[in-house]
Amino acid sequence: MGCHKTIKHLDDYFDGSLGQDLLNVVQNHVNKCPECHELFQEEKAFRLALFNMPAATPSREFSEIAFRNAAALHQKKLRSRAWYSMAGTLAAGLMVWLTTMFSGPIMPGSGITADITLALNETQNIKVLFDSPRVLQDATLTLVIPKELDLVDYPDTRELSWTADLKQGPNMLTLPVRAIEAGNIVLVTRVAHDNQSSTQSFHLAVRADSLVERRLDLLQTV
Amino acid sequence: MDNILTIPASQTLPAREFETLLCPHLDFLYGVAFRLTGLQADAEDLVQDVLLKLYPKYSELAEIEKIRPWLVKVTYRTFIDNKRRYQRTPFSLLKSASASEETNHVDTLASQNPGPAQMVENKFTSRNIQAALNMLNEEQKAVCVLHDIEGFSLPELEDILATPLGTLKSRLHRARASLKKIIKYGTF
Ligand SMILES: [Zn+2]
Repeated sequence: MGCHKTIKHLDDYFDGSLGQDLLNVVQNHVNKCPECHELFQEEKAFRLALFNMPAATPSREFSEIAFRNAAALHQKKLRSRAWYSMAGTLAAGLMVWLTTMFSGPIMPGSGITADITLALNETQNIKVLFDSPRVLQDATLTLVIPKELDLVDYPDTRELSWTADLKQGPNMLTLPVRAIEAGNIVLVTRVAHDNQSSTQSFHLAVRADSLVERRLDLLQTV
Repeated sequence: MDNILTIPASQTLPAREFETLLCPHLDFLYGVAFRLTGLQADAEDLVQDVLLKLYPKYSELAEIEKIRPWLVKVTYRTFIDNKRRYQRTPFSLLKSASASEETNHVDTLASQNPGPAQMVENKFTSRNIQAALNMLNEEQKAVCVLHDIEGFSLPELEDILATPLGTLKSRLHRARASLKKIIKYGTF
């Protein structure tokens, strides 16, 4: 084998993709030819240098910050999807109500304050019923939680967004909440889908009295 | 019957699971990102973008058997996407001006005469290789970094880089030839 062909085979030689016969031929030539021997040694040194490149490592702080950012930015992205990029309102007909175990459905808006009673620091379920006129795949649901309430498992979270599939008809969301203080509160729900959104505000009065009958059901129009 | 919706499990939970899942691979991911971008700040940005992309899919991640090739695939795609987006902005003009300053140490190699093999071998330092890598195009850089440095096989790279084997081979061949030329002579 001549120099030209030998040089052409060097890449495959070091990639380990030459058959045994060709491998022997290349090796024999390299052992005899000083020019090809030099190129062979150079290629070998080059491959070794590549293989032994020390790995670049991130700083300790970077790992911590990167993971924290991923979680935080994800929430922010969902929120901005739900709040800022809406071109219109969701197709007419999406209804949302709030309900509790002891009350009839509470309609959103209209400025009427519905009485609900929660014992301080006791967990209770508020039910939000999304009555959708059609399937809404990957809708972004957002809750804005007043400071008087804490969502269980989300202490101090005042806004929470996530994606969910709404079926046609009633979709029931259960919100385990805990009353932190009494007062007139506004609970906001938002459904965003395909550049459209629907927001509902529920005016509620939280009475921190465990003796009063607990009324806690809500309804929303999307 | 009503469709039942639930609020997601507390955010701290997926965040923790996500971290547990990816933490063992973060150094590796950063290493690849650094080789591709050539700069610490850009590598950090790239890894951050990848984590943000993967975060909503953390439950799917847990199902993946061979996670590293998969992570590299996402990293490479993000790298290419960012590059394209970046090239459309006027910032790329500023950056290319400063990039030529950063690779000056390669230029100094050009002024030296290429010597015998031993001298050439001594030029194959990590620093010179990285500087030369930064001068390759994205596709050549990726195949060289992932195959020759990170050790992925060509069949694995067929999937990761979504490129047929034959193309990968010739790309790799050209990448190595360019690297050696840059390191020896300071230019292509
Ligand atoms: Zn020869």
